Amino acid sequence: MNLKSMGIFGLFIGLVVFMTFMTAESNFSVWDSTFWQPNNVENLLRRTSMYGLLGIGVAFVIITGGIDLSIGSIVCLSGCLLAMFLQVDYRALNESEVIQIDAQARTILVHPGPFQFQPGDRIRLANGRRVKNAIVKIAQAETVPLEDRSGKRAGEAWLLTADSELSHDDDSGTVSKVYSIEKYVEAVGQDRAKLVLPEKIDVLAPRDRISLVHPSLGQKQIEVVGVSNDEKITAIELQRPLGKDFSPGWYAIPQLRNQRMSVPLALLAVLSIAALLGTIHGLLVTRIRLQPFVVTLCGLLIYRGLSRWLVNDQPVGFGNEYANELSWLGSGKWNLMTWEEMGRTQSFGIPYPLFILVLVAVLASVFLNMTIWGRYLQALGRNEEAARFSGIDTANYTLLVYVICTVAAALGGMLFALDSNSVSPSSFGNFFELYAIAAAVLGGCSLRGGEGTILGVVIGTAVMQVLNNLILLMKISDELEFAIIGSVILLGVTADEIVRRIASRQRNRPQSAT
Amino acid sequence: MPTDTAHPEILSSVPLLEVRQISKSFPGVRALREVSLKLYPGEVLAVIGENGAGKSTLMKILAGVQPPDSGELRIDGQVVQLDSTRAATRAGIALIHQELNLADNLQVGANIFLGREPHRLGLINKRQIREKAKLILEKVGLDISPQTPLKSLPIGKQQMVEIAKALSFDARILIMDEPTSSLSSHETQQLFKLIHELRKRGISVIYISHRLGEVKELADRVTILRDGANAGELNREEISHDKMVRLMVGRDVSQFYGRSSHPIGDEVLRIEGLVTSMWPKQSVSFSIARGEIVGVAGLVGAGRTEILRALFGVDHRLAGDVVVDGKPTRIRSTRDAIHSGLALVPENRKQQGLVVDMPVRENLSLASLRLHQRAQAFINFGYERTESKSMIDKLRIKTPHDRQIAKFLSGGNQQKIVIGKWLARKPKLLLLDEPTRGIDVGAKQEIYRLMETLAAEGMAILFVSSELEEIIGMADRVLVVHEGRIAGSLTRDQLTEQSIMQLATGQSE
Repeated sequence: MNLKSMGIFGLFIGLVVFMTFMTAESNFSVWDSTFWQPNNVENLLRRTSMYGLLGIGVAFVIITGGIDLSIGSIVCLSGCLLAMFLQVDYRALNESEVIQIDAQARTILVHPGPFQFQPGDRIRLANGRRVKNAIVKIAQAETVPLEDRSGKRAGEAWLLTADSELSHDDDSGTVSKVYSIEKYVEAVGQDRAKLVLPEKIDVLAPRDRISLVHPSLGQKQIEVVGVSNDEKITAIELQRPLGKDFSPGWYAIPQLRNQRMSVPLALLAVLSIAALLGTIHGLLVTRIRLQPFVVTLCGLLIYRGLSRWLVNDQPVGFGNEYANELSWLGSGKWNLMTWEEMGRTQSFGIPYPLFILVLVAVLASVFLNMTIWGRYLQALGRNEEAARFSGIDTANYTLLVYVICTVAAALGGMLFALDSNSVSPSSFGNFFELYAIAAAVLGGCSLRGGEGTILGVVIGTAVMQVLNNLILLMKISDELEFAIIGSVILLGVTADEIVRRIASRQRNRPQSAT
Repeated sequence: MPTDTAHPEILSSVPLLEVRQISKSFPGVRALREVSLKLYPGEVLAVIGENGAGKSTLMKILAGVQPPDSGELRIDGQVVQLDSTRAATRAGIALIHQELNLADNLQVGANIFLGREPHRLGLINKRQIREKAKLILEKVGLDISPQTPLKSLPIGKQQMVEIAKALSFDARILIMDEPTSSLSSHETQQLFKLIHELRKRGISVIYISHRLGEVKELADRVTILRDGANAGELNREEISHDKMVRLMVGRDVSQFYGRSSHPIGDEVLRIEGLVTSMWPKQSVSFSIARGEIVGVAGLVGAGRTEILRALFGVDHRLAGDVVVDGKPTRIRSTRDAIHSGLALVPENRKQQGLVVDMPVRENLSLASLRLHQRAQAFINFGYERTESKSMIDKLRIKTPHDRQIAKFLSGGNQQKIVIGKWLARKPKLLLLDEPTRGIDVGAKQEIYRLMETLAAEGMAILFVSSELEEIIGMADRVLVVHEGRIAGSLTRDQLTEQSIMQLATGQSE
C-alpha cells in the first residue's frame, strides 16, 4: 500500500468511526449503533461491491489518461439486455390462431399448427385480451384448402365444427385445446397438489405452468414442479394447492415456458456486447483520434436512448423466474450467523457480489502490477509518446482499457439489475459514471494518467458508500446528497494534492550537482 | 533617463546592462555559478557555450522568466529586479526566442500590438494599429502590409515581425537565441543587415549561437560560458574559431572525443530510396556497417530527425526499402524496428525517451520486458532488479537507488537511462538523435566514451547532431543533409567545419 492509499484508508476509517458514534444509542454501546446493524453493513458491502466493479473498470481508463463517461448508460443497457435475453413467456400448448368464426354454421376456421384436432376434443375460445373461457366441444374436424384474396392457394386450415352454439362471431382470437381433469388430489400437510390429465403430454416439464380455466369461475395459473406420464395419463405435481373452491368443471391448459436464452448464454451475450462497445470506443479514440471525453459522452447518450427504445421505456425485470438460478448472484448472501433478537430472526452474511469484487480486484491488481501488459499500461499513461518510442503498441493497449471498462460496467450493471430485480430504463444507472470516476479519483487515480491502485479505488468506492449511508442514517435531507458527496470528494483530493506537493518539494530540494 | 542619448559613437563607460555574479540552481544541477557580463549601448555581444553551459538559464533570468538565486542585475547602473517578463519588458529587454512567440492565426499588425491594442470604449482601433505597425515594420526593413496574415510569411520574415514587435516596446536590449537556426542563408544575411542597422541606432544585441562563423562575423565581443560559469571573454580583434572552441570545451578537443580506430565489419543496415512525409520529393539512401559511427549533419529543419523517425517506424514513410543484415525488412512500427535490432535514443529525452514519472529501474527495463517474461505475461522481477543494477553500474548512472523517479535525475543521467534501456536489448544499430543535447560536459564525455566502446564491440551507431565539434570528433563518416536529401558524404579525413557547412547550406552544388 503506498502513501496515497494510506490517506484514503485513513479517511475511510475516520468516516466509519464517525458514523459509529453518531448513530449510537449511547456512547457506551457503539456496537448497537444503527451503522453496525447487520442489514446496514450487508447493504453497504453489497453496494460497495457493485460500484467497486465500475470503479475498477474506469480506473484502467483513467490510468492511461482517458475517461469513460458512458458507464452509467452501459449499466442501464446491460441491465435491460439481460432482462430481455432472459425474458420468459408462457404459450399455451396447442394454441392456434383463429381465421374466422361463423356462429351460424358453428364453424371455426383456424390456422394449421403442429397439432391435430380430433372430434371430441374440447377447445377454449379466447378473444384477444379479453379471455372469455368459452369452452366448446368439437363435433367435426377437417382440413380445408385455404385461399388468399386473389384465389391462389395458400396452404391448409382446420375447419372445426362445434357441437353447441357459438356465442360470438369474431375473426380474431385463439383456440387452444383444453384437457379435462381426471383427478385432483390435494396433499394435506404439504403445500403441493396433484393433477391427473387423461392424455400423455410429454412436452410438459417442471417450471412450465398449468392454466386452470372454468367457464364461469375464471382462470388461475400454477407452476408445475413435477411431471410423470405413461401411455394414457399425465400426472402433474403443482407448486401449490388450488384452494377450496376447486370443483368439477375446471379444465387445464398446459402453458409451456419459453426462455429466450439460457442463463450462461445471456450473461456471455451481455458481456460480449459490452466488449464490442468498448472496442468501438477504443477504435474511435485510437484510430480516428477522437477525444475520449467526446466519444464516451456520445456513448452515454446513445446507450441510454437505445436502452429506452429497446424496452419501450417500460420497466423490465426478472419476476420470480430466476430466484434460485441467478438472482442470488446480485441479491443473495453467504450466511454466516443467525440469531433471535426481539422475537425476530436476524442473520448476517457476506453478499455474493463482494466475492465477485474481490475476485475482480485481485485479478486487476495482478494484471496491473505483475504482468508486462500492466506495466505497459502504466508507462503509456504516464508518457504515451515515450511508450511508443519504446516499441509498445500503445494504440492496442489503449483500446484494451476501454474494453476492460465497459465489460466491468456491464458486469456491475447485471448485478445491479439482479439485485433490484427491475430496471427502469430512464433512470437506471444515472450518474453511475460520476460515482465511479469520483471513487477512482478519491482512491488516488490522477486524471492526468499514470497513477492509481486498485485497492485505492475499492476503498474510494467504500468511502462514497459510507457517505451515502451517512446522509441516510443521519436523516439529512436527500436534496443535499450530491452537495455533501461533492464537498467531501473536493476536500479529499485537495488535501491529497497539498500533501503530495509538500512531499515532492522535500524530495525536490537541490542536491549536490551530479 | 532619456533613451535617445545613446548614440553609436558614444560608447559610454556605464554599461547598459550589467550582470553581477548571478547564480541559479535547479534540482540536481547548478545551472549558473556567479556569472557576470556587461553589455554596452550599441554593442553586439555573443554569448557562446556548449549545451548545458547555462546560456538559456541566463537568458531566462534576463527576460524575467526565472529569478536568480543570488547576484544582481543593473540597467544603466541601477539595480533592477526582473521578477516577471513584464518587468523585463519595462526595463527594455526583449527576448527573440528560438521558437517564435507569435500567434500565427492573427495578422502582422495584431501580433505587434498583441495585449496592448489601442482601443476606444473597449473596441480595438484597427486603423491606429495599421498606421503604427506600418511605421515599425519600416524600421526593420519589412515591406509588407500590417494586414498580412502572419502564417503566410516565411519563417525569416516572421522573425523580423517579432523583432519589430520588440522595437515597438522601445526595447533597448534584444536577446536573440539561435535566431538563424531555421533561416535560409539569404534570410540570415538579411537578419545580419538588420542587426547592423539596430546597432547604429544604439540598440544592443545579445546574440546566442552555436554557429561560430556567424559569431565571428557579427560580434563586437564574445562571452564564453562553460559548465554554468564564465570561461572567458574575447574582444573583436581576439575572436577566432580556435580560441572560442578551446574556451568552450576547456580541454584539448581531440582527447575529449577519444576516438580510436577499429575495424569496420559487414553492412548492418542499408536503406534505399527512403522518402519522408516532410520532404516528399526527396529520397535518401545510405548504409552503415558494424563498428561504424556515422554522423548525420545538417541545419535544423533539414530533415535529419525525420530520417531517423521514418527508419524507426515512428512516422509513416512514403517509400523506401530497408535491408537489415542483407535481408529486406518490413518496418511499419517501432515494434518492427526494435525486433529488427534497431534502437532509437530520440531527440526529446523527456517527451520521447523517458517515462519521467517512473522509477529508473522500470525505465531501464521498459523495452526488454518481453525478453525475460514468465508464462508469456508476467514480469520477471528478479531479473529486472539485477539487470537494472548492472546497467546502472555499467553506465555509471548517478542515482541514489534504482527506485528513484527518473525526473529527479540530471539530464546526463537521464540520457544514460535511455541508452541503457536499449542496451538491455543488445541492438545491432543504435540511432542517436542529438545525444548530448542539454547535458553537462562530464556526462557528454561519458556518452562519447560509451559510443566508442559500443562501436568497438561491433555495434553500428548512427547519430544526428547539430554540434559540428561533436560530429567531427566522433564520426567515422558524415552524411550531410540539406533540404531532405543527402547533399554529400564525408570521410573522416575530409571533415572540417567548412566542408560540412558548405554541404549543409547547399553551397557546393
